[in-house]
This record gives sequence, structure tokens and C-alpha cells, in this order.
Amino acid sequence: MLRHETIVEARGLKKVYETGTKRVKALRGLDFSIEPGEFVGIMGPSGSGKSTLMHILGCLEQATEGIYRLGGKDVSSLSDRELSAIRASQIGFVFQTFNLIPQYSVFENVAMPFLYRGETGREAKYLAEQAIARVNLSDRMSHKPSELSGGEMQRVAIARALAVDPLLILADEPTGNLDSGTSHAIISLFRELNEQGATLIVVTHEREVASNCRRIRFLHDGKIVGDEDLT
Amino acid sequence: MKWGRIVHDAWIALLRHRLRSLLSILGIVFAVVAVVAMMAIAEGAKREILDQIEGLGTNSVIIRTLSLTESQKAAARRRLSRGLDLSDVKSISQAVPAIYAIAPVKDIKASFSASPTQDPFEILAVTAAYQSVKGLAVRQGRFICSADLIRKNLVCVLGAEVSRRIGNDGRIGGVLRLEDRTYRVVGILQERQSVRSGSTALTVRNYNRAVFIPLGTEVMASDDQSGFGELSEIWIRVAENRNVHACAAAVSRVLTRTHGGVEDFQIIVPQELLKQARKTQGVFNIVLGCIAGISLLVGGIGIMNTMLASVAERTREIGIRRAVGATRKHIVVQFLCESIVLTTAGGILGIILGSGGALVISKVAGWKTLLTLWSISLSILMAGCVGLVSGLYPAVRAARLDPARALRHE
Repeated sequence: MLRHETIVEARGLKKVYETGTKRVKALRGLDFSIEPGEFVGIMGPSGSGKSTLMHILGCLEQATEGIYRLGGKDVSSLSDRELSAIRASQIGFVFQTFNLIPQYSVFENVAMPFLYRGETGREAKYLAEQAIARVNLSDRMSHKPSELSGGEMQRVAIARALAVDPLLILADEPTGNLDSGTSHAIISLFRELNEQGATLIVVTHEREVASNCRRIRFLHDGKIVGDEDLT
Repeated sequence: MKWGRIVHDAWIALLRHRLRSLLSILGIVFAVVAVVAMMAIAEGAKREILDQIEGLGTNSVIIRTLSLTESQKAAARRRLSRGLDLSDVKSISQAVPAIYAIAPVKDIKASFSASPTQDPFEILAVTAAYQSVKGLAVRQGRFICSADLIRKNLVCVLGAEVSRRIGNDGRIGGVLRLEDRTYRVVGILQERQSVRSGSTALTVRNYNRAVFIPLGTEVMASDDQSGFGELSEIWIRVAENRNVHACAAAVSRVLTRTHGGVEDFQIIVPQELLKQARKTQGVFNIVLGCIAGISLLVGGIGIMNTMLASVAERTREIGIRRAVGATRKHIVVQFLCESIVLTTAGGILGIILGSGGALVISKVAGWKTLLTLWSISLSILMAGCVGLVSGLYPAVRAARLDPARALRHE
């Protein structure tokens, strides 16, 4: 499962938000790279540009300036449609608030990326079921999110991120809404996935969460200000 | 994505807000109810008129005698008009070409022994040509023939209902007493679909309730011994449909001449009536269309409002879908589909209520109503189109949302 090319390669990333007369510089020339199989934590105070970086890395937004290569491919100037295709097949998101579709069952939530890729056949079903099995929720397949606990909902979200076998899994404060016991379980699940070969980026402000990563990058005022190797 | 899945998803999303969905489609429901019920009524009325006109025959020209007052009759006599009589039949058949058959008819006001006192059977004195003019089918025996007329045979032909109602005398060989004469039954007509008679200009005879006797064998009604206006009607069947108008004009010229310009007759051309009925129907349809259009417009605005609220409320859901790979097109299709499913459901509900309403109206008011497949499919199509049009703007707005911002939305 290991990929050999650099997964994330960002050079001089800048992001400026313009709201009316106000110009907010969220990223100010950021260099960043991730190799296959890495497990990186990103820490920084609020307003440091963590979320913006996440969104750009996840192809939800595009940088105002700079180059971003995902898996060797320059995505800085792709169309909305092409970015959607990349999100559907190469990126897995995990959010603080789980972000499941309430009217869908666990299975339907996990199978959603396949739906938008136009894959509804037996293989898609198999892959979704495999992902649910990897987070140990096979017995909850047809439950609705409202029937699950917070930890279970986050595991469903992780299964959704895993299902398409993405290049990169991005987790934005994944333990922010969970108690400490459940947080531990989620973090160990991340570690387990990483050991199986997944490349992960976790944005957090909790030192305890970050300390489980192999590497921590510190972000401040839209720039990387520190790098800590924990291996 | 598969369409079945999209529609199913839309349905599930709408069911999450049952009350809101229901309230928002009320406008559409009422519009469709109005359209379906009104179209059923209009269609019923149209069918009735058309049946009457077609009952008269679209390839016929009818000359009806007009009842005149005594002073008008005297004035007519001075101008040498004797009203509608057999000499008119002769001059018309000599002067007007393209006639397939011409049949004089006389309404006999007398009643016969077995006729019910309430709503008595009609007695018509006719010639043999009447059968071919009206296309009457004989079930048993024969119709009046020319020999009956020449020999003044006292025979009669019965309508199906008359035959059924008067027992043994209603069979071939049975005997009917008409005033002081006795008629022998020689034929029974086949049952005909009866048409309810409407306005006076369109009186259609119910042949199931008629007794036919040879013209010339009848007893003169006592109050009309003058012989003025001997015939009630002259029926002309034109050989070809396209000659009907020319024939009517020629008949009018002939009669105006022979009657010395006295207007004691009326020429009815069913084809003309049909045209008029269609024209009236057209105007009615336009009015109906306007009402439906306004109702649907108002309904559509309601739907747009609901869909805009739904998009605003589900901003985060849109963000999630975009994050896992939905394109803008997917989002447009999703919301458009919701709005179309919503209005189509309203349309179906409206059709159910509207047909129920039409049924109630026809039961209570006694109007004939007719539900056509055309009106049902038109209603569904209209409802769907309203969904498409009013859902378009909200759907495009949903698709244009910035995915990252939509995800941050609380």
C-alpha cells in the first residue's frame, strides 16, 4: 500500500480572504511536504491558519498563490469538477463534528463517496463494508447516526474516509467533541491505520493528541514555525 | 448516481419535514384540484353537447317548422305559404343536388293505449327514407317501406324500450291502438345509446321511446285541421360532409321562394352548431388555463420559498457532500429533484382530491363530469414543471456555495 512519490508538496502557499474592504492573510507563504506513510500533527493557536491549510490540502479551497502538488499532480489550477473528483477518490476527511448525513444509515454514509463517483455496484458495496469492518462497526451497518454514540459516529466518519483508499486522510480536531476515553480509542485507531500504511494529517490543539503522531508541525500566523520529530 | 436513488433520497429528505412539505405544496394541490375538477366538468359538458350534436348527425341538414301565432299564419297564407309540407320535400329534392336521402317527419300528438301517462312515448309519422337518414338499425322485422305509404298500411315500428314496456303487444304481430285506428307491429328497432336532451335547438329524439307509423295514415290532430304546416321536420342527409353548407344554402333559397319569403321554418346545420360549441369550448379553456396558471404561479413561489429555506438549513449537509466528492451538478440535481418530487406529490394529491371533487359535483349537482387521461397527465406535467422552475434558483444557489464555508456553517 505504500506509495513512493511525495504525497503532499506545497511551495509558497498564500491564501488571502477578501470580505468587503477587509483583506485577511490566512497563509503567508507556507512550505510543506508529506511523505507516504507519515502521521503528522498540526498544532497552532486559533487564527493561525490551521483550517485554511486543511481545506487547501483537502482540495476544498485553492490557494491564492503558490504551488500545491498532491501525489505529484499540480492541483493549483484545476476546475471545480476536477477538484470534486480528487476529493471523491484521493482525500478522506474526518471532522470534529463527525459530519454524517442524519437521514442515511451507517452503510449509506460510508458508501457516499462511491455514489458520487458513479460506483454503486458490488465492488463499492464490498469496499464500504470492509471499511466499516476496519472500524469494528459491522453490527451497526443499518443504524442511523442518531442511534450511535459520539465515538461510534466518529468511527463511521473514519470508515467513510478510509473506504476509497485515499492518498491522504485529513482529520480536523477529530477528538474535539469526545470524552478522553473515547479520544484515546480514536487516536489509537489512527495509529493502527497508519501502521497499516495510511498517510494521516491531524489538526489539533491538544498536545496529548499531537504527541501520538510521529511528527508535529507548529503553525503561527500563516507560517510553519516549528517541526518536532517524535519517532 | 442512479435516478431511482436520487428520487428515493429526495423523498426521504422531504419526509423529514412532513408538515412543512405538506404545507408548502398546498398551493399546488389546490391549483391541480381546480384544474382537474374544472376540466372534468368542462369535458363532461362538452361531451354532452357533442353527443347531442352528433346525435343529430353531422352530415345532416334539418328543416324545422316554426310555430306561428294565428295572425302570423294568416299573414303567411296571404303570401301563399302553406308552411312546411310534402310539396317542399318535392321541390327540395328536385332543386338541390348532392342529397343522399330526404325524409319528412310529423310529430303525432295523439297518444296510444299502452303509452304511460307520465312521459308518454313519441309517435312519429315518417317515410321509408327516415331509416337511412337517421341510420336506424332494425333488430326484428322491418322498417316502414314505400308500399306502406302508398297503400296506407296501418303498421308500426317500435323503439326498443317501447317494445320492452308494453308486454305481448310489443312483439311482431302485436297490436297498438292509436285514437280510433289499430296498427300492427311489423318491426322492432335495435337499442340505441340514448342521449339526454338539452336545449331546445338541440332536441334529440330518444328512438328507444318512439313509435313509427307511415306518413299519411295518421289521424289529423283536431286543432290543426287547416293543414297548415303539415310536417314538423324535414331531414336531409347530404352525401358528402363537405357539401353540407352548400346544401343548406340551396335549401334555404328554395324554401324562401316557395314560402313567398315567409320565415315559418328554421334550418339547423349540426355541423355549424358543432363549430360553435368548439369555439365556446376554446374560450372556456383559455379562462381555465389562466386560473390554473395564476394558482400554479402562487404555488410555485411557495415552493421556491421552502426550497430556499431548506438550502439555508442544510448548508452543512451540502458542505459534507461536496467534501466527499459531490460536484456542483450533483447538488443541483439533488435539490431540483427534491422540488420536483415535492410538487409532483402535490400534483398527485391534487388529482386524487380533484377527481373526488368532480365525482361529488356530478352526484350532487347532477352534471356530467368526465376525467380524461389527458387532463391527468397535463396536471402531473404542470406540477412537475412548477417544481423544476421554482426549484432551479434554490438548487443553483446550493451548488454555488463555497464547500469550505458550507462546512464551517453552524
